[in-house]
Amino acid sequence: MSEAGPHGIRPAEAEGGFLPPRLLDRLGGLDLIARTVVEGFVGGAHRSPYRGAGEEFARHRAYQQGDDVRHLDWRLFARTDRLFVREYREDSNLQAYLVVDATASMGYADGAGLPKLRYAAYLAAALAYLMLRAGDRVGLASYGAAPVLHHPPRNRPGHLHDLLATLERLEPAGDASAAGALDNVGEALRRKGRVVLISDLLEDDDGAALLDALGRLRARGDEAIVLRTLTPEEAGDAPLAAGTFHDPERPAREVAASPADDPGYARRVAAYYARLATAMGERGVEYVAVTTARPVELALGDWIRVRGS
Amino acid sequence: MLELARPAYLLAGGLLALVPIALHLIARRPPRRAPLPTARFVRPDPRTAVRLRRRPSDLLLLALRCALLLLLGAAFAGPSWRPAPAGTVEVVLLDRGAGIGGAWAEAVDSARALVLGGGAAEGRAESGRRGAGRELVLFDTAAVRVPAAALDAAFFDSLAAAGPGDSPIDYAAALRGLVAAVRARPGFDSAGAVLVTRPRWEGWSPGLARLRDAAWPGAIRVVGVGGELPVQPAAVDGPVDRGVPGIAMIHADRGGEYVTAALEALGWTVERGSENFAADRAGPAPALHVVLGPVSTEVEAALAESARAGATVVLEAGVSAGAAGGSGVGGATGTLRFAGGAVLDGAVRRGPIAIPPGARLLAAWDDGAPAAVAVPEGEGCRVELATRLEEGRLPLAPAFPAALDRLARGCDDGQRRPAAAGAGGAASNGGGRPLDAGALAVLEGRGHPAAVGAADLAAAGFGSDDGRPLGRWILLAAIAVAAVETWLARRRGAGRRVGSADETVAGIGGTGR
Repeated sequence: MSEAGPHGIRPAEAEGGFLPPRLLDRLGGLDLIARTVVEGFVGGAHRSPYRGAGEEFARHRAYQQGDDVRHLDWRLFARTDRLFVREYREDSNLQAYLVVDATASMGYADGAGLPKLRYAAYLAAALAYLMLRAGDRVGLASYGAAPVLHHPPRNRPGHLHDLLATLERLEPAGDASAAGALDNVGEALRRKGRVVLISDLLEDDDGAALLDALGRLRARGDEAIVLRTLTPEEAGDAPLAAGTFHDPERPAREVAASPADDPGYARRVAAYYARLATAMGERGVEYVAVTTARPVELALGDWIRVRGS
Repeated sequence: MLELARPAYLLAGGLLALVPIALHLIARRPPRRAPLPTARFVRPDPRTAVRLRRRPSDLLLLALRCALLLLLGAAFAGPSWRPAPAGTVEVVLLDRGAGIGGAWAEAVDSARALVLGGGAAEGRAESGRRGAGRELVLFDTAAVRVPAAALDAAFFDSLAAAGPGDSPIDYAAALRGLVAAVRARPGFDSAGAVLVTRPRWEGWSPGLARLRDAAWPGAIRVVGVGGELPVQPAAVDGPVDRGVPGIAMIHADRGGEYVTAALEALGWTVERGSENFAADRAGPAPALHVVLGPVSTEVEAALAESARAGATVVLEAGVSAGAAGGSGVGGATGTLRFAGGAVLDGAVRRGPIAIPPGARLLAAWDDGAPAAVAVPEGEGCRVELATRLEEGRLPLAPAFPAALDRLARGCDDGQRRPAAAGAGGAASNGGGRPLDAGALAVLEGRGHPAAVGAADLAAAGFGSDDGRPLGRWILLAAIAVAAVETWLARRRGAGRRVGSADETVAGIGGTGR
């Protein structure tokens, strides 16, 4: 008989020790989700890229089993007869912008899966938590009906809450291009920084303007990371039942089709994203392809692998 | 028993019902209208627009639609409910005219055998193949239907004892009695007729040949009494000569339709006279001219010449220059009585008439004033009438053809007979003289079916043959089904629209929050 876990989720529902995205919704708010994802990510097979200790003392923390004994404060132990470890604030000047695609197409969900926008919010929340924990300053931008700069890059108490609250409020609408949002972010970054774009990359011009905008960011010296987010059905990984389909951003144009019976559908989708990935690689942009069926922790791991390669 | 007058309509309804079945087996996509951000990568597939289901969709709606078409087909198929078959009805027409004389007892025995199934040998033979229903009609110049409850042996005994009547007979009356008896008989499969008579010229009347066919579509078996029936000559095997008296010519600027119809019923071949009819016409000269309304002096002269050559010229009031008050009829009305017995009753407008020397009276008003006279003219005759032939309701009087027949005979006092009555018929008035084979053939209606089916009788104007029509009730049921189908289809359609809208909202805006 299986026992329910701390959040009412049974171990059998976890996939390889990580939580399936559809179960993250049960956790509650994005702050808890982000914390859970990152704890799982850090405590799992992956090691945090921001583990390096800084020089500035931050606080004492009660010793827990597994803490590095080198960080034990022996003098405090002598005074209090209790074990504490010293924590330091990592000294970082990195500014990062999370750019989330909130166009109408991101509202799509297949079957019982998560809508892409919700999945993108998980990713953004986990990344924000990770980067803030590492001492980076993190901002948030999105584009749906129009590009919006929600929060400038900051790292202060309560900033994570602001970011997560904004992510919670995002609704899919409009058909704005990512290029405008990236250009706005580029202008808002006062020095070189990191831009993380979470999007399905379904652009009107087949991504030409997006690639140009990413090229401009790279020319500034910014680090650019693209997390392409699709559902398995969109990616051709899961059968898509026959029907009359329309692009949520172009509802007037309908197509009666049976993608499950059309092997060319998956090929065309793969070719589109392969072309984008190649073009981004040529511009030094990190490209990570994820689907909403993949646990967010694993998606973060994919990114780490790409960065390490 | 349910009967269909036009079963092809029901068949058509059944075939049409296959259409909704086929339509319900065809499923039109989109069964699913869905958003798909990667729609740009899908290729249109026409096969997805239409597909064939294994089971029909919406069985209730399909059943209603099929029922609607079948009901419409049934409604237009002329359905009727007929009571259980009542067998064959046989109407026995018994001649009780004075002319039957000593053959009366034999006639009653034959009728008894036919009705009760015993007695004479012929009667026994008849009873073996007949059904249960029998009617007895006694006729002389009128016909009386004997109630079925009274038809027993005692009735026939009393009938034989009472003897025949003292009136002449009229076969036309027998025909009218036959029709009335069949119409009065409820529910039967078929009907036949037997005439027990001593066939004789006495019963023949003008127009009987045409009346015979119009009155009864079947054959009439003639059981002759008082002697042998005339033998049909071998040569007369084809169409029976109905006895056309000759060619009659109508002279009128307008009207003349009633006179034409009556003359044709009497067997005349009717033509329309022209201004120069004598010169224009080829072939035999008309034996009768009927002049309705004023004519030119040239025509009047030609008519006088025709009369002198042997024709009969009938001039209605206001035509003849010799007639007093040649302008026509006045306001007074009366009843016309013809010497042969025909009476034109009612408000017949009358005019004065002069009686030339040598004229003989053909008809008089009810006050005794002359109404029609015949004046010999050369070999022929001129008949003058004190009224107009197509005046008011006069042409609609039952005796109109008989009156016209008397006028057409003009100066001839003899009984004109149809040519089919044989060579002796036209010249002889022999009331007791037996009918010849030709006239008997006309009366029997040889070539017609011995028993006429109820449906044929209904088609011939003998009523609805007791079938209870169901078409309007089935049509009402079809309307009710159509109303339910419409209501249900709208409800289902509205449900589908709401479902489609929900699906769209869930697909586009349903972000899980």
